[in-house]
Amino acid sequence: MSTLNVKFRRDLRRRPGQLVSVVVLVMLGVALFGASYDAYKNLDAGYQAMFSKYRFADLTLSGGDTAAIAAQAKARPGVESAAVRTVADVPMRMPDGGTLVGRVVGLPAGAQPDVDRVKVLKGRYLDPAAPTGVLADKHVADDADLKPGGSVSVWDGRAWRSLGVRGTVSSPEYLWPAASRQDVLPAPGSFGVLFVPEQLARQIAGTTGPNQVTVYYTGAGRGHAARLDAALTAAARRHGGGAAVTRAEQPSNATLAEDIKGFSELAVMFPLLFLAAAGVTVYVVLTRRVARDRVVIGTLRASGFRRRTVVAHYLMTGVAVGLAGSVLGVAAGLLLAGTVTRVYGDAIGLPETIVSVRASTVVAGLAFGLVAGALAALAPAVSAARVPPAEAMRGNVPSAGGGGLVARLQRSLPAAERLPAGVWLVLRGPTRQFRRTLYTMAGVVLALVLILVSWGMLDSSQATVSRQFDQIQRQDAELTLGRPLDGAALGALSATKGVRAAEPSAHVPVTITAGDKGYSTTVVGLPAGTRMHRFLTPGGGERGLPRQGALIGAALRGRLGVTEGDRIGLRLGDGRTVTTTVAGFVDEPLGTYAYATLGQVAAWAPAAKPDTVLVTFDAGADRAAVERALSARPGVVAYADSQALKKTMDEYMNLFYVFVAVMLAFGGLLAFTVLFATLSVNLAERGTELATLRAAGVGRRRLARLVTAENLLVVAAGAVPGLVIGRLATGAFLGAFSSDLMAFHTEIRPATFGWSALAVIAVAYLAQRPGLRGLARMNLATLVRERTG
Amino acid sequence: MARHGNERAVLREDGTVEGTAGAPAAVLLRGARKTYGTGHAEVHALRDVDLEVRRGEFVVLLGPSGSGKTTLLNLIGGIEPPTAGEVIAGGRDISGLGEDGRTAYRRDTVGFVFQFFNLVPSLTALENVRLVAELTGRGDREHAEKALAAVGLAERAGHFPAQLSGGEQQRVAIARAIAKDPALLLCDEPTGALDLETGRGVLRVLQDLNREGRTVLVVTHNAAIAAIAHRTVRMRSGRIVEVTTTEAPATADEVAW
Repeated sequence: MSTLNVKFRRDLRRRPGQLVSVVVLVMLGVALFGASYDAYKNLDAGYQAMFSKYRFADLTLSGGDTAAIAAQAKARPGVESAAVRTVADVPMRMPDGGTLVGRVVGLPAGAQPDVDRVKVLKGRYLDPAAPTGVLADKHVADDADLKPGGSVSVWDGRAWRSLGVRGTVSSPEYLWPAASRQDVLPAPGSFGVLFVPEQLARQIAGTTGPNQVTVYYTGAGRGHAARLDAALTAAARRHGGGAAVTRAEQPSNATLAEDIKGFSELAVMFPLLFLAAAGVTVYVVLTRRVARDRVVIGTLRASGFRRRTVVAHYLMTGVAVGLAGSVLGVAAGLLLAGTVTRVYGDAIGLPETIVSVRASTVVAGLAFGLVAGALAALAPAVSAARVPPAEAMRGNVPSAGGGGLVARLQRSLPAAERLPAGVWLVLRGPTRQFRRTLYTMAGVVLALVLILVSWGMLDSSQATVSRQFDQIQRQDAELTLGRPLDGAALGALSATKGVRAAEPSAHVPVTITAGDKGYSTTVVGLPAGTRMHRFLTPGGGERGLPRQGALIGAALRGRLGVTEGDRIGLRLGDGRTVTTTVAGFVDEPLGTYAYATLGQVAAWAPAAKPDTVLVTFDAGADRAAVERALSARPGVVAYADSQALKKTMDEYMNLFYVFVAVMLAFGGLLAFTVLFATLSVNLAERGTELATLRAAGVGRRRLARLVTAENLLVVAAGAVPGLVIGRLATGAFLGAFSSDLMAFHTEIRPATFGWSALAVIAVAYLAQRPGLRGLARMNLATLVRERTG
Repeated sequence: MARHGNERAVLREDGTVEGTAGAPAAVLLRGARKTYGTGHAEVHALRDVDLEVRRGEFVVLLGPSGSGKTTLLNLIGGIEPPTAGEVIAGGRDISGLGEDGRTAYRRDTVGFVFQFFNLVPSLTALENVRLVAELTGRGDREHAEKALAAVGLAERAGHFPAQLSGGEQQRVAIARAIAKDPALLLCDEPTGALDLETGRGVLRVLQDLNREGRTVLVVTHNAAIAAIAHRTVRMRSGRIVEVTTTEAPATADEVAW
């Protein structure tokens, strides 16, 4: 081993804490990259495997002449199978008496369908010999405790029908129990799916034939899915078809895709933050080492060492810590990815999880750590090679000049002269190694971005829930009726004890069209002066329901390319298309609906009658008693408590708290490691002057207070841009998740900014403690004789 | 009056030390020993040193590198405790003091001047002087300005160390040391980093301070400096090998090396 390598190894062991902190940062960055990216790939692979095994439909076409549409689809190249079925949303009553609006989906009684099969989890598949035997989707089965051998009731338009549960199943269509793209977060107990014999489905829906076509593509067909989707949709429309839902837009798949997209976002954000922090730390530590070694470097250069030997010597430190961190990180990432995949898969009921070790992730992880370490070490290494031998031999380390900006400010403020010298020591300290101060601030910024993005997401999600349930939806409950609403029935509901007000509401499934673009949603009809729903506009204002035209969700502005006043088509379930005007846009967090007055809805779809009633309760009303009273009213077949969904959302928030706590821990760790390294370098560099002050009789505690004040000043200065950049990063991060399914506003509470900054300052205080303890142990006799710049 | 078993000096009950000639002693070392490391790595930096420095005396500690002169200065200055023996300074025995006690002793009694000045580069000359005075609670702004004037740098008060010459920096360091009005000024190679002219300027300041009554100890390997001292203590291998007295010390301007 060369002597230079011996020096390298001994240098690594000198002040090991600084280099260990870099290894930890690289390890965390690489581990979280591996965990996030592989979890994303594992889950995506798991979904694709399930979709393939259970033949998840590539395209679902509703309405029209389903037999003709299916026949045409089957004949088209790229289509492997097409099947017809009956689907209907109907009231259901669970064994505990709870009611909901669920969905029945028809399946062939004798065998699994060609498209959209189900995995039987418990019990048995449908049997032609049991025409009222049904399969309950896992989610409703879990919520309502439905088991094989049990029963469930379904409203068939005239009466409740009792059906026997043969088994529980998992379906690729309902991996996530989303009712529609407008309702991707149904509260447990507010939505459920029953798979029933096709014949029974038609009886319940009150139709004579199927109303939906499901199409499954070949591998080659999936290669040009967009073209095939368009051709099949156009063909279906020629046969009176209505909504067409592609696999990508299918509510469950779209929701899960959005959700796991978070992993891929984190797979970028984590390595970026942690490896940047590692880079900052490597740079700071090596810059200091090069400054310390100037005489040695000069000696080596004077002895004939080539520049590239010197560069390689210092570059090796960055490569070594990068490699050590990335090897540990890759190993940790593989373990974490498997765990995250299994936990997530179990949580959503993915029947089979796939956990793979990907060579590409391993190689990328190793490369990230190595590149980060090497890049950060490059600048100090090159500067080391540029040290002029003669200057280095003289040992003249450049001194700080005239005190910089702070000194100039001081001169312009005569009153500042009266401030104690200790104050100036604190204020001017950060300007002495200004670049290092900037890097320390960069560490603070990185930590705050990590903390604020996670905490900001929590705040924004809470604000989103509040916006939806406190500001927009004003009703306490929604009642589904089993027969058309009349004045007497509405009056009776309004007069129910505990009810303050009741309003009728109508729901019409439509496809909004503009040119060749379309979007399937629901037109909600409400009284012109509704008090149950507020219409908040994208500009932050509020408006009323227009007498003419429709208000549509803001997401459609870009999706359909329409603006206020544009004409749009509303394709109805019966195949007719009516045209109307975009009266304005509404900014709603959950789902993208269209709104119009009941009169306008009746004009478009005369057959659509008010089918639900929105009610508000008296203040302090006994909610359970009111629910019982309303559910007992004639014609009321389902009751949905608005508070239930809010409660569900609040429960999701509890999971978010765990996420934020983990992120806070990571942010704290990031801040600690960067600040530990930079602050300990600062203290090491000031050893002589601090020792001189100690020799002059300045007490340790007093000196520690001065050093602490200076360090915290730098951290506080870094917190300002950190909070601004963190706010911007949160907006960008949330923006990536915003779609027609959900729209987030970045709303971070002022207290969150304050607590985040305080958290980082507290971490900085802890990070400098080891260095301050060194103050007590410093060897005064040696340090006061050391030559410094 | 408490006797220390030493016929030459006495620690009085009022805390002062009576020297051999009845004059008060500023520093008294008896059997002072300093050992670093243990076993085979043991280094005897000082071996049973006895020394008395009288108040107002200018003493030069002379010796080659490794002779123990800086270790002796560190013991007197309370930077390190002795391994054995007694160090009586500032009217008390400091050899048994803990870290806090030694800090208080240094604050109240000693001013240090080091070879490489050790100024805070981000503070002006005056602020460097004020800093120590403020942090030790001894002296104020006025003291600092007077100290700087005493070393002839009143006009350079607003300059940063990088804007001062080496000699000026060392004079700022001296001003910093005397701003808290110490009884004892300990200088470790104060001219070691300076050329002859600049070094003379620094010695001149030290001599002036001594004439004002301050006890000054200077550690150097430069034998020429011994000419300005009342007494010269020569050291070798951790022992005092010779003490010489100069009846008529030279002035700083007469020194040459």
